[in-house]
Amino acid sequence: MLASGAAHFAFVESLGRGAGAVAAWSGAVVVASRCTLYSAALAPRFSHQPAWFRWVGPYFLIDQLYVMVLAEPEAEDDPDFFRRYYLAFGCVMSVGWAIAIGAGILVGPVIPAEWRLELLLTALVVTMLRSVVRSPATRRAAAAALVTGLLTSGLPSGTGLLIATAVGIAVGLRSAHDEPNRERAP
Amino acid sequence: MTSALLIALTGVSIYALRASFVVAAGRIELPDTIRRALGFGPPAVLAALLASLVVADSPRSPDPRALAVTVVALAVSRRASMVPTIGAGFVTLVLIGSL
Repeated sequence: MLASGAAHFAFVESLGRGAGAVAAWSGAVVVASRCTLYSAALAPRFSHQPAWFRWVGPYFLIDQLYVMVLAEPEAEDDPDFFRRYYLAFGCVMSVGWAIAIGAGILVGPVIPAEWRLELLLTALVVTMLRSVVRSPATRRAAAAALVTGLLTSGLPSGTGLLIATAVGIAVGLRSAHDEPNRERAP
Repeated sequence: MTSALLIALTGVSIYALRASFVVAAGRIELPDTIRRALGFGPPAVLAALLASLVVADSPRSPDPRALAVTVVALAVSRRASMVPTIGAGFVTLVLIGSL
């Protein structure tokens, strides 16, 4: 089993709506493609790790784990600490994930549908977003991606997610490029 | 295509995306611009994901409940950690659902 929240949702929802196998697969892959960014961003920390960990590590690579790695400065400097931290958090997340899904299947039917608890996912994403927005440039990147995401939400198979991410990154880069110039300006 | 095969194929594809750069770590050198761009990946991805969640049910108009949870979560997360923020979102949904 591979835990992948948003891609899981996209995959199951596509099949639930009667979409074909290729559409369900491509939708899940597009939504999960953000993990490629995480993989690239974490690659320098994995460059000093043993081969087995480079193969096992990606199994646990989800949004929450990536945010937790960013939140721990020591994980950047100490390869051994990074490996222990990453594996410990990854294992805890995987076990907790499975337990939570099992609990959801058991408890879900007795929770009133009008509460719409699936929307709690937005609160989780907001907290993760807060933890990675640390500068004016990242704030602008997030704002641009949010607006673009709203505007492109009607596009099929998660392509709006990709476009919004690309726009956010471009705006962030541009903003970071401009900021030093503004500071130097009289 | 059987369901099991489709699930396995999707799982392998997603793992391949996650492993792509990590497995090749140390063997490829990314250009400086790409490395700087990667720093903006998480805020951009998460904001885009948030947008897709807010309009999940209706692409043309945001879900009022999802908006309410987002606003409450934004307000609470300024001063509190993840658990109180999600708790506040839960209370918001229960209150709206009970109206």
